[in-house]
Amino acid sequence: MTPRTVPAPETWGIGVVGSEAWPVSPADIADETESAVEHLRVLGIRDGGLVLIVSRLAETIHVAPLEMAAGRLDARWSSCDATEGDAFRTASLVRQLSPDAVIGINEMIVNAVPSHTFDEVPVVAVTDRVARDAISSSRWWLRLGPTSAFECEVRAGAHHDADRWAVDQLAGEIVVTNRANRLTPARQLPTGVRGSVVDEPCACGRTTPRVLPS
Amino acid sequence: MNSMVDADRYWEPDVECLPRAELDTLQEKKLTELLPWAYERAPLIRHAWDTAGVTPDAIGSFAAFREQVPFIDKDAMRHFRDDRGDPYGGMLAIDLATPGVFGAIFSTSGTTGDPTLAPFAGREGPTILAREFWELGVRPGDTFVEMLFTYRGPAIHWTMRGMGATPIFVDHDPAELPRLFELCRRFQPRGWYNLSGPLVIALQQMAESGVDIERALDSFRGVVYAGEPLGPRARRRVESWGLELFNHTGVGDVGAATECREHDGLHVWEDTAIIEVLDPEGDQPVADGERGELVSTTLMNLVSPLVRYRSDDLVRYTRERCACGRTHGRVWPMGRKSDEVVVDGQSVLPVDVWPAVEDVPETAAALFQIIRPGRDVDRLRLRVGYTRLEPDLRGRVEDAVEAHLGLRPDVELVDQDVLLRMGPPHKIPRVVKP
Repeated sequence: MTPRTVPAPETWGIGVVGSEAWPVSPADIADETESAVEHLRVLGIRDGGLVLIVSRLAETIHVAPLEMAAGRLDARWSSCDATEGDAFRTASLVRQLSPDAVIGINEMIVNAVPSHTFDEVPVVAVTDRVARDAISSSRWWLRLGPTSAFECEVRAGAHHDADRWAVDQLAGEIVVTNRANRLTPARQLPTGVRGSVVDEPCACGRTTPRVLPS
Repeated sequence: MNSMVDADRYWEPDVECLPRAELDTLQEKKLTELLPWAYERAPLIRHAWDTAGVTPDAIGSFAAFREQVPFIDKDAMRHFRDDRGDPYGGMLAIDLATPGVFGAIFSTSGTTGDPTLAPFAGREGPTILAREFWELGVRPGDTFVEMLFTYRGPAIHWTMRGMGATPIFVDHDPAELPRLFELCRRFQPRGWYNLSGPLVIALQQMAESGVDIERALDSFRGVVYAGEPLGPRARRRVESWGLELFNHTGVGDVGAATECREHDGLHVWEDTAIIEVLDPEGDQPVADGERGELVSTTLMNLVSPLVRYRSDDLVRYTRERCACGRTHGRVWPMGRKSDEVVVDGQSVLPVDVWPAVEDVPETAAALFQIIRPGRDVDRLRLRVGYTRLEPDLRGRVEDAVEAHLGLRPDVELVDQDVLLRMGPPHKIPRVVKP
């Protein structure tokens, strides 16, 4: 009873960026996982910790690196859908699991769950302005094209992996360009994030540019 | 289906077609290995067995297993969780924070209460689902649409890549269908996991507005359908678009089952689980092919090793060899035991009502609910969704149900969009309290 083996596909998966189909390679995902390890550390995820990731299936190319990064940190992760219909499950898992961080909270979810749902969660990363304003001390999770940026505890703009991606502002919108090789290249790709790029060092000690949503 | 696929039908031929006697031997070997593991590590299993005065060393055969091993169920897990403060309900058998273990915690959908945690540990590679995706006709180099209604971790896309296929991630949302069409034009996917009732309704509405659904979806060799039952009329509608549907269901929280191309029951993989089908009100097995409650025991999940788990699922089940050549059992899901209403001694489940509601043109989407104040009722009460309200519609729906079941129901009509808004994206609650 020998398992069948087949060659791995050259394309890891096809996600979506904006409204575009976005093929990524296994090397892209491995590279983004390296970035995600640092993001999770900044969010306070440690050996034995737990992160709850709230997302949509079409965001898998953004989420899988976070899942794998949790494994790299010997932490655990759980998941819910970033939809109104599944918001009750987010609230239930926060109550049952007491995660160290919850990533991906948005307007639909904060409008569908009790206002105290996230009071005891040490770090909540949000994806839109309504959630940002509804949850005190929340931090941004920005999807910048096919990569992610997260705020540190200073809450003065989201840090991306500047070794792999360049960020700029064009006509009030953040655009990204890949510095590392990617299966699908991005050249000043519009991200849909309105805001500015802050080029001054962050109080957390990092000196790379940050993205500050407007 | 092309000849290349037919000539290479099985992902794991030596397991999928293992002779029955060898399959039984394999199960017994795996069972005797699993039971001590479960007893030593899963607190609920130990509690249940100690209460029953059973130890693993006394269970050396299937006969002893069936005679002595106690049942567990979801209520037992919830009570254990609440009484002991154990979020896993006494069913976590490893430390998920063990270095090197890819530890995750998934959960049930919460249809019947607080979501139950489902701990997971594994490493990237194809899962048992590869047998089912291979049967759909997916092959290395293909693309495959993953459109799962709720995200349950990486097992699906691990499996696709483990088969050499590339997943395309699409949200399970009718609003995403135009994007799916565009992806189909560009990437020509061969498999789709999965289609659901609300997506079928949306496709039908697009077809009525002039979209050529058959052309838009012509790259698929097979489409998995899941979430809730599919009525015969809806199945014919989907097949009229040139799609071959493969029904798929969960099996007692220990695995999944999917139709093969014979479409004669859903294959359960018995090298991974022991399936018993028992009298829903007792503990005796029903005859092969008769309706009963599915009781499951995992043979492969060492993280959360369910043993004699009463699933609440009513099924028909047979161990007869399938015409496809596979030797593993096949299941026909009927509904949840807790959804059953008994009207004047007659059992009624949503699956029994389905064909009748489908038969009326204005309610053909089969969006309906059974109003269930309790198990035993004097009269069947239904809430039925319609697309167009006609003065005689209620009477026609009541006539159709009476013709199918021999019971005249009380029918409340509502706009079907009202019912669609009640559910998660892939289904609506089929049984509700008054």
